[in-house]
Parts: sequence; structure tokens; C-alpha cells
Amino acid sequence: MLELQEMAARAGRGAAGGESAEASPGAAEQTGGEGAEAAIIQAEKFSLYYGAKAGVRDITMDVWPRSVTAIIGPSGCGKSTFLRSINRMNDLIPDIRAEGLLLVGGVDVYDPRANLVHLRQQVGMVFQKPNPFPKSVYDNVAYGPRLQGTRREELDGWVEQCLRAAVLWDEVKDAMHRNALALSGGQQQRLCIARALATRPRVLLMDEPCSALDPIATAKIEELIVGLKRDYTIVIVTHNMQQAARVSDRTAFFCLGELIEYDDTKILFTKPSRKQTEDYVTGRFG
Amino acid sequence: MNIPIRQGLNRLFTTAALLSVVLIVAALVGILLPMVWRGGGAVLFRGTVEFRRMQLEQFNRGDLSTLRGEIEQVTSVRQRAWDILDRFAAGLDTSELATRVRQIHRDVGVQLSHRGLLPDEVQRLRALSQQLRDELLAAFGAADKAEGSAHLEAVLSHADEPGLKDTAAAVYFDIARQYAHVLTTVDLSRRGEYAQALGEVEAAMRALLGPRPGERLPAVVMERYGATRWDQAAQQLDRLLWAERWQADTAGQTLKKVRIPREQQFAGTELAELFPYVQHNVRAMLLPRWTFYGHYFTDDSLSGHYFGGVGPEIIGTLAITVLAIAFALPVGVVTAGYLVECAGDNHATRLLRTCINTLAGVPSIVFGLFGLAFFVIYLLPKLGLPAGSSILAGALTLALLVLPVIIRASEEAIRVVPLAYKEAALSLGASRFHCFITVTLPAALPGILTGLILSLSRAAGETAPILFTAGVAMGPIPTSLAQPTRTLSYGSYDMAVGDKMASLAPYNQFGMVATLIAIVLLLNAAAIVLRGRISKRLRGQ
Repeated sequence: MLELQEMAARAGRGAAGGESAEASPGAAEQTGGEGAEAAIIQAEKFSLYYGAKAGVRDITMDVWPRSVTAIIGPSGCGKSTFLRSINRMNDLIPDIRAEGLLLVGGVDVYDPRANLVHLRQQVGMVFQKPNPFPKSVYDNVAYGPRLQGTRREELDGWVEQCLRAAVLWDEVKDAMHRNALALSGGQQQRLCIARALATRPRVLLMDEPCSALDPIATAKIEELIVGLKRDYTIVIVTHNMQQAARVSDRTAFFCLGELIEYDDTKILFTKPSRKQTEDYVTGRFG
Repeated sequence: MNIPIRQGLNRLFTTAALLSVVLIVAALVGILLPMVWRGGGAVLFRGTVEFRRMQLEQFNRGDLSTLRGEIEQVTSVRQRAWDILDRFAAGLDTSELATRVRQIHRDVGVQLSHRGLLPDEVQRLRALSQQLRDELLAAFGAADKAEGSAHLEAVLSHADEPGLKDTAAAVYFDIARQYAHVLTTVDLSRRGEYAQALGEVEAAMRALLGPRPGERLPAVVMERYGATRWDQAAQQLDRLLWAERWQADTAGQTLKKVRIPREQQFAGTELAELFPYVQHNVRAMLLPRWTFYGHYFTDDSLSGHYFGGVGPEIIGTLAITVLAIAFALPVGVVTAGYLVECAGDNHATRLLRTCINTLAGVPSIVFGLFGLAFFVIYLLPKLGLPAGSSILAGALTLALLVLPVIIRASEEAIRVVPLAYKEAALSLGASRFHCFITVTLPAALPGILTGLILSLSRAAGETAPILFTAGVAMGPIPTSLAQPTRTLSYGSYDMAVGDKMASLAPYNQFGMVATLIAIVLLLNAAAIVLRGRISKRLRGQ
């Protein structure tokens, strides 16, 4: 079995500082700077087919650790398809076929020997519509750690840390055992983020996390994303170009299943190199 | 379609819907209410002193001192009735008198020989005693009143014989006087008819008041007590006060049953006063009182449901139902999980679904026969259990019966669990099995409970499957799963087709049925409340 943990350990041997991986929700032992280390997500001519139709075609892009990467594009361009391929959530759809290479932490996720459970614990996901379990707030956040075998004594502290990281602790600390469905939409989405953080992932995938929320909740979550950037790699799919401009370091523009342009956010929005990108960014279509 | 027509149709549909609801409720009330009402008569009724006596003697329940007081009270009232009856019976029953008379003669002989009289005197007195005896016997055998009276006169003419004073012979004259009195009141020609009717009157009295105090205890418990309920007493009183005779009608061809008041039947005799006496004093003889027989649900039954309650039946029904659900629920939920999560859309799966649907339509008697052939005769003996009906076989058969219902309801419930929950669980690193157990099943619980509710009612009430596999009409409370048991459903069936218990104790029959209905309703209500709570929790309230 090829384990991502192995890769992390190898990279961690070069880590500076004595910050232990357990002490904070930051799981990465790698030191900062994009160019200084290997990309955490690498796609090389990656394609995904639904039956005969191509969802995405020949995607080649690299995502560096501790950054926020936004994927933008018009509807049906394959953004969500690509995102969900990273942690193999597309497997839920029957009759899919992957071609090319998609590496996470140096491991091909479509390798038949890949440990799916481990992959999904390393690559967390937050969905478009908040989907907390119909259980208590505590049980929602504790779901992942319990899967990983965290001991009961450590669970309480860890749940609190995750909720603090998701900026939700103050609002739910008195109602930890109330049903999660009683929270508001924005709170539920932050709960989902806390839940995803609880498995100590290195990458956080977010599929249009704010599209179902009101502006105030959206602002809170954008703030949260910028704060999480310190410890996590975040890939966010968004319909909202302004949001991409606000939070991301690099942006990828997809159109009709292909990656059109992938560059620093500032450059993509001000001086895009492709005409399609410019048309989309200036609102001429999409 | 224009607006008025559409509005008219709307109103029509609404009315039709309301009408259906009203009809359903009326049908439910119309069927259930009388049963529950009459079944209530098994628990709440006017119980007599006989009932309290039965409770004390058979079930060890009640206050001995108050009961003793009551028994004394009623005995004093009843005694007169018994005396009237005894006297009349004695008067008719000359064979007993004859035996007594013969015994008297023997006693006189013995007494005379110890008197120290002269042998001649002893001889004469003995001969006189014999003569008196023969005269009396002749009087008893006389078919004619005049003849009988003549003999009695002959006896009584010697009433002042000094030699026979202070001997047993004095009883001769008492008997003669008594019999003379009988002769004046009883129409000897009708003696045969009286004897038969007297038998009926005795039987009716015994049914009403129970055996006489001091009489030998009957072996059958049913006959040891009189009417235990006031409604029963009214029936027995009717039997006492009215005689049924076949009488040719005026044309002389067909025979009709007519009712004659017994007072009229025994008119002119001593017995005639028994009937108005009993009629007026029956309340004092039985001391009816409103009784709440709550132990009906825990007591065993006596004499085949004549007395007692349905305790063992309730235990049997609950045992079989719970066991059947315990078998069917896990198997059903797992099968439903497989069908939703793992089964592909291929021929094998379609065949499986067809089988499950077919199983749902199989008549329950077929299940019963299958259970008999497979579980009782083949499988359980193979596993080492003793052959014959058993709770285990019945529960397994019932489990097969309710399995399709559970599978269908669970499958539906699992299918409608939002995909979002599954996605969330999988994205957190849960395996598909773990996701099923920790997220899908709990979310599907209300639907699964619906299947459970439906199958609880069926399992508790079905009779045909347990007819051959687990049910017995009478027997001890089972101590192991390998023994058969009484159940409410089987018991109701048995009482309905049995010989006469249903007509003797209709309240018990209704009580059993009403108990079954009540248990099913209670189980349903509990499961519905549970389902409501879980639903609320899943929705976040």
C-alpha cells in the first residue's frame, strides 16, 4: 500500500521547527514557500469520462502546499468533476473511467492499490450544500477522528480545536449535544468545515461552499479560508469570480472540460494570456 | 375545462375523500367497539359471592374473614330454598324412605332385646314393628292416594302403643305423618313427571347457587361454584323459573317448544313456593357487587376458560411475536441493505426481488403448513430438539411471514436517505460498510420502524401460521422455547369452534379477542411514538 503518510514523513525530515503534528490542526510538516517543495497535487493529462462523454480532458496543473487555489469557469465546464476526482468521490457515479495521472502527495490516486480510506482522510471535502449528519454537533465533528481510532480522552479537546479553527466554537460551545440540523446554514457549513478538518487532512477541497449561504455567512467563511491557508492546502471551486479574486493565490480557468489558463490570481484577473479567459473574466460570456 | 366545472370537480373529490374517511372510521368503530365493549365485560362486571369464593379458593385472593361473613349471610337465605327442595325430594323419593324404614325395624329389634322384657312380649312387639314396616312400605308403593292413605291410617292407629315408646319405632309415625302430608299435596300419578322436572330444578339450583354446603366437592372445578357473574345468574335464574317443553301444536303435526313457568308446572305442590322465594331473594343469595377483575390479564384459566383469565395466552402471544420480530428484523434490514447498496441491476437481483414480492402474497395457511413440514417435522428434530409444536417453530414461521414487509419498508427507507449524508461520510474516510452502519441505517430508522409496526400487528394476530407449529388450546405455561404455547389468536379460534364453552362463557371469548386487539393497538402505539421521536431527532428538533 502506498501511503501518503510516508511521503509526509519524508518531506518532514527536512522540516524546521519543533512543532509537532499533533499539537495543532495543521497537519503539514513541510516548510513554507511554494517553489521550495514539491506540488501536493499534480495532474498530468488527466481525463475523466462518464461513459463516452468526457467530463474533463487533458488537465495538467500543479497545486502547491499551503495555498488557496480557485477553479472558476462557466457551468458544466468540469470544475466539480475535477475537484471530486482528487479524492475519488466520483466513484459514486457508475460507469466512470479515468485516464492520465493524478498524484496527491506523490501517490497516484487512481492506482488500484491506493488506499481510498487513507486518501479521503488526507483530502477533506466540503460540499456545496451543507450536509451535517443528523447527529449532534459533537458527533459530527467526532465522526472522522472516531474512524481513525482517536481515544475518547483526546476527542473532547480535538473537537474543540477543530471548532475553534472553523470559527464556530463560541457559537456552539453550549449546545454541543444539540442536533446539528438546528444550526443556521452558515453555521452548518462551518460545522462541515470543522468536521473535514477533524481528520487532520493536508488538503481541503471546497465545492462552491458559499453558494447556498447569505453574504454575511459567506464573508465569515471567506475569512476562515484565508486563515486556514496557513496550515492547509485549499482548492476551491467557485462560480463567483469576485470570491476567487478575494481569497485565492492562484486561479485556474476551466471551460468545456479543459483547462484554459492557470496562473497567479492577480495576473489572471488583470492580464490574462488567453482571450477566452479575458472574455469570461470581463463577463462577455458565462 | 372551465373554472366552474373544475371547482365542482374539486368539491366532489373533497367530499368523496371525506366520505371515505368517515366510512373507514365508522367501520373501525363498528367492528372494534362492540368487541372491546363486550370484552370489557370480562374485566368489569358485577361479581357475586361465588366469584369471590372462587377467587379465594382457586387464586388465593381476597379477604377470608369478610368472605366468611358473606357466606354465612347467603347461606342463611339459601338454606330455606334448599330445605324446600329437600323436603319435596324426600317426599318423592320413597326408596330412601323405604331404606330408612327397614333400618328402623332392625334398630327396634336390637333395642327390644336389650329391654329385659319377657320373650313373649318381645315377640309381639317385634311382630308389630314388622307389620308397621310393611304397612309403610305398602303405603310408599301405593299408586293411589286412597290406598296409600289407608295404609298410613293403619300405621298411625298404633301410634300410642306403649311397648314401642322410647324406641326407634317413634320415627315410624313421624314418617307416616310426613308422607300423609306429601300425599295430600303430591299428585301421585304425576310422580314420574315430577321426578324428571325435579332433576332439572336441582341442576338449575346448583348452577345458580353452587353445590349445597356439606355436599361432596365435585371433581370438575366448573361445578364447584354457582353463578359467578350477575349476568350469568340472570341466565341461570331463567333456567330455574321456566321449563321448556315440546308441545304438539293445534294441528297435532309439528312439535313446538313452549316455555312454561315452573311455578305452574309444580302448582299445588310444596315445591311451588321455591320459585317465588328464589326469585325474590336471589340478590341476597348472591350479593352481587361491581368488580374490577384486573388480574384477568395475569391469571391462568380454569376449566377451559370458564373461570380465570388469559395470562398464559398473553405471555404466549408476546413471546412468539417478539421472537419472530427478533428473527425477521435483522435479516430483513441486512437484505434491504444489500439490495440497495450492493446489488447490481442484473437477472439475479431481479429474481430475488420477484421472490420477495411473491412471498408477500402467499396465504398464511401455506406458511403454517410449510412451518409444520420444515421446522416442526424436519429441521428442529435434526437440531436435537424434541419433536412437536414449539414456540421456536412458530416464531420462525411467523418471521418468514413478516419478512417481505420488513424488507420492502427497509429498502424504501434506505433508498431515500439523502445522498449528501453518504457523500459526507465517504469523504471523511468511512468505508462503505461503516457508512451504512453509522450514517445510513440511523437515518433510515423511521422507515424501518414503519415496517416493524406493520409486522408487529401481523405477527401478533396471525392464527394460521401458528396453528400447526406452536399453538395449543390448553397446557401449562411453557418453560422453554421448545414447548408449544397458548396464544390469544389460537385461543380465540379454539373457543369459537370448540363445543360449548363459547356459549357458556361468552364474556371470556370476547375478553380474549379484545385483549388481542388491545395488545396490537398498544404495540402499534408504542412503535409509532418511538418512530415520531426518532423522526424529530433526525429533522433536528
